[in-house]
Amino acid sequence: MSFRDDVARFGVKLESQFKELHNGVCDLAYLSIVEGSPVTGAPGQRVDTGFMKSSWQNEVTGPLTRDISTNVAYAPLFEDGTYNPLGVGRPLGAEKLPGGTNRRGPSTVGGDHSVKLTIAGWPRIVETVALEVGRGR
Amino acid sequence: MAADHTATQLALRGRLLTLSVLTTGSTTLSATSTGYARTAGSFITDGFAVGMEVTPSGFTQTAVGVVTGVSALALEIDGGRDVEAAGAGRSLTVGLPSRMGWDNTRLEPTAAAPYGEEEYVPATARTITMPASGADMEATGLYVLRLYGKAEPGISALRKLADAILALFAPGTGLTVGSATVRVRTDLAPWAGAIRADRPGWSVVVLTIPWRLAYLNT
Repeated sequence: MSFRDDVARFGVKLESQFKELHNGVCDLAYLSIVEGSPVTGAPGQRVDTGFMKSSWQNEVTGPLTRDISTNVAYAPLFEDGTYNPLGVGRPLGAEKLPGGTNRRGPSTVGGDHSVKLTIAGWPRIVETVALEVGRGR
Repeated sequence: MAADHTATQLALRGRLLTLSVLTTGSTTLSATSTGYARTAGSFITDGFAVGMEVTPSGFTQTAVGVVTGVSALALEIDGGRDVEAAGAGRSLTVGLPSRMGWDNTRLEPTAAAPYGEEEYVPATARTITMPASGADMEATGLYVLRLYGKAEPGISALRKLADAILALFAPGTGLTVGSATVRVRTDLAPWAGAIRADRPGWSVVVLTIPWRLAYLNT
């Protein structure tokens, strides 16, 4: 065993762990957005019919790139909390009963802002996965 | 001590309530049947835009009004104003919309006026030093603001309001919360989203202010 061999093995291990880190981080980010996560505090998606929740995709687009996305047009409304749980065309103000976080809606699980909370929790996502990879999970 | 989220939210709200988007400054203004008028200076240069809510000062009629038209020397206000001759020491100011849906309160928006909604979103908390007893703690979360304005007059009213709030909550801004401090995060600065169409006649822009609360586990 030469020093050169040691360095080569270390390089292989490093690359392997880096890919593991990338995959783990992307999977946890996806989980945070869709199901919610204590790592980020994200509540996950609201569920009525399940259509929007199941629309989220975690697509591998390259060796080190993922695309976590949804093509549901009203997803931004749910993310930002501007959605209208009473239906389009409701009387002005009818959706504010009361305002803020106590809105009425069809779902008893999940909540708003999961994408934003996942972005805000990104350092903790990386930290959490890095610890797991370092421990050789 | 657990994180004092009540005090934290009130501190963030208190900061928001100091918002000043733009003003004429103290000047000579008159009130007309259609709004306000001036003989010097320019409402356009001051930055007024259709859809903004102005607060008059120095007039007999001090109710807020919504701008429906802007020219250099005249500001049209929805519903007009009680006529008052020109007088010095008056001002028109744009700040936070007077109609705000604070968390867990009922909001009654009116058809013609901009309004906003507040949402305080606590996220995570953890110790960052050892031992746990007496450790430095860190809580994080978001302060989300939804700003609604009239659709179609363009971007200025909503975007200037959003920009002014972002300036008020610049990264690193610290606010005292009892013996703790809440800071606007610097690793993820506040941001404003796109101006989106909401229900008919309305547009909305959403602001996200990530915060970090430092406190002790005592």
